[in-house]
Amino acid sequence: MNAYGWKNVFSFTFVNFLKSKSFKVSTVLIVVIIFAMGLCMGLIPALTSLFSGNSGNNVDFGNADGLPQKVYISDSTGITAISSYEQFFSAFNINIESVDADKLNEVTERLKTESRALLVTITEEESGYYIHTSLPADNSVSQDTASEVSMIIQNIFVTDRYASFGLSAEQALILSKEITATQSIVGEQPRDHFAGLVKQIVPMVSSVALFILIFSYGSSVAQSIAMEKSSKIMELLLTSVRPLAIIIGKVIAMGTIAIFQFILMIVSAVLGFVISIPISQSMINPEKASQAGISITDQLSNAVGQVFSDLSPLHIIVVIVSFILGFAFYALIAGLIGASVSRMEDLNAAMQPYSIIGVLGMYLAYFPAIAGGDNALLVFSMYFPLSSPFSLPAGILTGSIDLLQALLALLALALFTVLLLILVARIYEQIILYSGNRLKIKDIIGLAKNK
Amino acid sequence: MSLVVNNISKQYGSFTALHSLSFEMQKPGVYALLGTNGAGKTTAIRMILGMLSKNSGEVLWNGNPISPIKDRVGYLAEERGLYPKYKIIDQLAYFAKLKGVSKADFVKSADYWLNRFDISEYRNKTADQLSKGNQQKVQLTAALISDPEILILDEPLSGLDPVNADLFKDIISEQVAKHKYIIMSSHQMELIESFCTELTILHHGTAVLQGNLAEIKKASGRVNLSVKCDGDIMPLAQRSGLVPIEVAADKIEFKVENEQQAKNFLKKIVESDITLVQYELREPSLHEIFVNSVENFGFEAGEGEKI
Repeated sequence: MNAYGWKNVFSFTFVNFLKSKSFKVSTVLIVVIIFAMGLCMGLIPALTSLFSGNSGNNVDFGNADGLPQKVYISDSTGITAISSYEQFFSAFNINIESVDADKLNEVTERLKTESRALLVTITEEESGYYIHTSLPADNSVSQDTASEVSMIIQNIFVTDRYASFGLSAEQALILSKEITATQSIVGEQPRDHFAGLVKQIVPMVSSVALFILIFSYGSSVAQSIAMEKSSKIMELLLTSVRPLAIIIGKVIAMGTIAIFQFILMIVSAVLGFVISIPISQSMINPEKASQAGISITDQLSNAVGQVFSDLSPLHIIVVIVSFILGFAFYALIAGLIGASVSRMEDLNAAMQPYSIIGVLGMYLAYFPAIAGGDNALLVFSMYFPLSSPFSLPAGILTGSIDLLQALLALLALALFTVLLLILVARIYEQIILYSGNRLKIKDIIGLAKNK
Repeated sequence: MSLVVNNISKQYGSFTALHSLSFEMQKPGVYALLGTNGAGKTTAIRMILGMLSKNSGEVLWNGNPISPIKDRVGYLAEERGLYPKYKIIDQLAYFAKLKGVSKADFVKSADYWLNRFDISEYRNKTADQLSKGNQQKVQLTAALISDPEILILDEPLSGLDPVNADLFKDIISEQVAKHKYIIMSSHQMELIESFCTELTILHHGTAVLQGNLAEIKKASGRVNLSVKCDGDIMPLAQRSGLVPIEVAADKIEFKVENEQQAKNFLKKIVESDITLVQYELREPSLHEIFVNSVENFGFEAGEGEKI
């Protein structure tokens, strides 16, 4: 295998593809769309909050299914009567039960197994009053709903406090004390909702994005070779380089461009999301922001951070290498198909098997990944060369497979790619100057057997 | 320096595209590779250039197997192509880089050839903006850009107007004067006759005639007689045993067995009252040699009867 001259093929293909109008237009279009998507991701929760008319003084529990059925209240301050809370929450069919301070541990234990219940403790300290809400671990009451409940209790508490005191200096001091509301989750916390969502979205988005990149740039390799062959430039090139150098140069050039565009896509998405945060904050006041819109954005950011926090530089390198090998694997097949046609008009028909195996590989990676959990098909998709370019990066990013398994899968992909390269080198030299009817798969296999 | 093609053969399954072709160029000059369509010329050229694998044989340049990648070889293919949407200068730079030409040498060489072909103004245009003739000039520039020692020209003048054809001929002459080794394939026999000293005629993958053109012609003898007279010479020709092979309005062409037969015919014309306007006894043209070689091979091979 002689690939002398591939660097010249690479630089010419790379530079001229970057200079082409089609690349410039498609890149700008992709960057704008991805940037807009990133921006929308951050702005939509804030906009939803803004247009919902939600305010700190109005009560809006949203979905009634998420409301607590019972709220235990332990008020050691003696400022409010339990009836004040009952009067308000009865309108929402929420039972209020007063809890003495010495029963707090018992109720906390009960909350570990009791769904749709909250425990609110109101205490007075030197520094002020504290309203603390305990939530059950089964997510039967969301943190947003718990925040709403504690806000209402805080309002009732303040109102009763005003009513029960005169306007003496002592009372003024009491009124000026800051009230701090906190929350804590009782029992073992299940998998975070957003983290779970991110773990489902990442494989989905990455599989589709990788498919688009691998497929479109793989097709470009085929198109470029078919064009050189059909326009007879190939004859001139072959006086200077071997066919293998041409295909290697083109595959690396297109792969580099694909990585470049992929990085641009990620940067655009991140930039859009980052820019959306201050815009969101300026659209709604901080109080609302803490209640709704920004809290969702924050939770999403935290979830993304939580999912990717375990990644080391080695993980990132493995992801990049798996993308490169995956691209090379598919682009070599595409190059071979490009070399099998003599006329450009035959290329679309010749590329059909490439499309089919690409889609099969993508779905083989996609469905086991979104199904979640450990399953045999997911493991198979990591090792199978048609699907591993799509499933391996997502598996590493989401931690679905450990590093050792990822390295083994990468080794398998590298092995298949090298074998394919040897096969392609053997066939490519024989079909590159072939002119006539489009070669069928059986013809190409026949050529592989002969030398 | 020498170029030796030694028994190269190419087989596609049961089909023989080229059967044991051999020839040598021991000194610079132009070697003609002729043949009918599908005779195996392009296959031979591709094998010489190392584009196609050989079933047998070897091609040696200065005693070593030729490496078009390392040795300086320029090629103008019969089926030409350029990148339609890339600038001419970028394409030439790419082809030069592939040939290992340095940037400084490329700039110098590109300037020279673009000016020589009078296409300097198109250097920053894309190929699809150029006429076919100008594209052909760019392609010959690409073949010459590395100042190759071996130049392979496949139908160099096809599609050119007379002015550009003359320009191409001048450039080929210059390359001959620079002692380049040139292999030329063409169906334009006048072009071959004006440049080539040695030739091979291929038919169905087999060399049917090889050797020095002058010697081939000499061996064929002066058997072509062309006569123009002010009167009917056909009865005289019949009496001399001559059968016309072409009767035109202004002259009659005969094939004579030897020079003596032609002399006898001339004597008969002079002795008659017919005024002789033109009398030419010449060697067969390359065109005739080519046609005869191919027809004789077909006849001998039992392809059909000679008409």
